[in-house]
Amino acid sequence: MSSTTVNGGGSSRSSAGFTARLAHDIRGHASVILAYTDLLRGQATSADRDQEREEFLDTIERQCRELMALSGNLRLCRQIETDELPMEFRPLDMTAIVTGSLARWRARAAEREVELDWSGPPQIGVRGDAEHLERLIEELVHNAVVYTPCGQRATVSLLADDAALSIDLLSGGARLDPDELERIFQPFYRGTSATTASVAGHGLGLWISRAIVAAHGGALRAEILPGTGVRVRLSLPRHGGVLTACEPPPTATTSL
Amino acid sequence: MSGGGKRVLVVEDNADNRRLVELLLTALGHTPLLAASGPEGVQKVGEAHPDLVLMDLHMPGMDGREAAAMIRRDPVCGHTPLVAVTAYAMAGDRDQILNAGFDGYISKPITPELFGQQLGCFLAGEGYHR
Repeated sequence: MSSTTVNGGGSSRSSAGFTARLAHDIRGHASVILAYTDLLRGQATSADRDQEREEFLDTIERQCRELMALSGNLRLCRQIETDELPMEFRPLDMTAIVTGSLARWRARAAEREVELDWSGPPQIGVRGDAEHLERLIEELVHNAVVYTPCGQRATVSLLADDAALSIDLLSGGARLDPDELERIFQPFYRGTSATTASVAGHGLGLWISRAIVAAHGGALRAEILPGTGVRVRLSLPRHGGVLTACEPPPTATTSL
Repeated sequence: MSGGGKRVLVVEDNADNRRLVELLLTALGHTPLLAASGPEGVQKVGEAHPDLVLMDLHMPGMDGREAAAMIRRDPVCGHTPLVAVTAYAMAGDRDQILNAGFDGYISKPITPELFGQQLGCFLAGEGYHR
């Protein structure tokens, strides 16, 4: 198994760009936290300001959580770049992972009046790293929910044969420029649709996702379906994943 | 603040930053207008003719520099004062910002205490760098 495509070159130039973007993003979060802290300090403590104070505290908390998420993502980035992504292969049920994620995102979909459809077999065994695959599916389902335009339909479907599985996430009515098809997988890339959909983030999710897929020997790509939307297709080998089996992970797949 | 309330367009993709500047502008007696992207900012300048634009430099898609260039090309609104808001304003960045068509910049973090003074200078036509 190879993960040679995951760091996209790693030249000193791209590394400098990465560091600059990172510095910018960290400073951006810290700026918001400082500014809202200043607002709180300057605020009168009368009861009618309670609601505003709660709003400011919520903002500070959200920004701190985004910093924490960024920190976690950077740790993963480092592990990906040095081919040290820790992997623990074990039998998993991909249907359970996908439906669990769909359940977590249903409320957000409803908020955006996005129909969230699912089709797939009741159980599909796959051997993989539970933490990474759950993170991967969470990212893809999140994207399908937030990048599908309000009032449209997001469809998630899982198909499998004995050797492999594929998961299609179709964002009905979503738009993507052809030149963005690969750029969305580059670190820190955020398309205009990120602003249109008011999606917070640092543009690392799909890059990390593709690295996780590569580490499992699979493929992740986006396609534009003219007149229909944008489809993200995840293909993964099942690695003989059978849910009743529980052997130790084969050494060949742990030495990534 | 002399001269009464002004209409200030805030072009900023980060919702928390947008809300912050909205709060500060309102507290200063101005009317905030909001845009979440470069294209939306350009559109609102044409529609609403604000007295001043506060523009984040780093936005997905069309960034602040591109948006500023489009506004400057507009024969009707091209002279609207444009102030860049940036997390990084180092010595070299200053010239880049001014060359991109901005009248000046405010560095993040935005300090509520200082913001009124900075904005006042720009609204009064002071503090312009060209």
